[in-house]
Amino acid sequence: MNTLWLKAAHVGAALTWVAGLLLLSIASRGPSASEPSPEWRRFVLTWSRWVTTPAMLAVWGLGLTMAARAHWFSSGWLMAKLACVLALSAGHGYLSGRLRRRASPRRSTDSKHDPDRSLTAVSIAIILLSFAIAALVVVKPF
Amino acid sequence: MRSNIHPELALMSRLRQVAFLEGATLILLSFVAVPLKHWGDTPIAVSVLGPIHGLVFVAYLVTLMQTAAECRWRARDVVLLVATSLLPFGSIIGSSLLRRRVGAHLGQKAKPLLRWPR
Repeated sequence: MNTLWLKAAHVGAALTWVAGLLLLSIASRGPSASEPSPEWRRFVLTWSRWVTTPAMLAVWGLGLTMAARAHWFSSGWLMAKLACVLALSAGHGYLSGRLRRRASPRRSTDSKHDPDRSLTAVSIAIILLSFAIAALVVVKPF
Repeated sequence: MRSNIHPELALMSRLRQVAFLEGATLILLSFVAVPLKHWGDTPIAVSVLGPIHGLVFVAYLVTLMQTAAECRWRARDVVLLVATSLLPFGSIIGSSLLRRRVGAHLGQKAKPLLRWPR
């Protein structure tokens, strides 16, 4: 596949993944007046399974293929970017686990007192990491 | 009661499977592929196993965080499991920890991985 097509597919998958992560963090919120309904949470979980998770796999697969083709593995910016993407992947796991817990009718009651501060922190971290990744790829500072 | 614990046990079981794969690919990479590259002048094994181990490690990290968030594990346990996954044969310690977690979840005394002969 042409490198430009690979890059386009990688960027598209990354956008889909980050959008799905923010959707997961919004759907995991509660309890409050604006708490998402159980149906909405189930929909987001289904979306995560069929769209967000495959997008993450595509990001990793296409990204590693591009890096191997371009011999970027010795570059410092790529190592920093890999660390950021690893952190985003960990955040993906955390958010989907939280949402699964919240969406489960049996176990949602014992998480009523979970603070939402950690979710806000995760959402902000997702945005900051996305900016850091964009800067590392475009500027390639080291 | 059984239906209450079933989803979490299924998650832990999946985590143990991914942890096994992660440990196995790390051992193969460290003790087969890397020596072949440096002493056998055969870099192909590292270039094949390296990305495979990398992807399995990502799968392990995602599954670990998902399980920890769903089962409400302490951050200390997560850090310990990540640390053990970075070391060759560290997955044996990780597996023991997971086994204890499953035991604790079932409300039973956790079985140790190794028993000293009496």
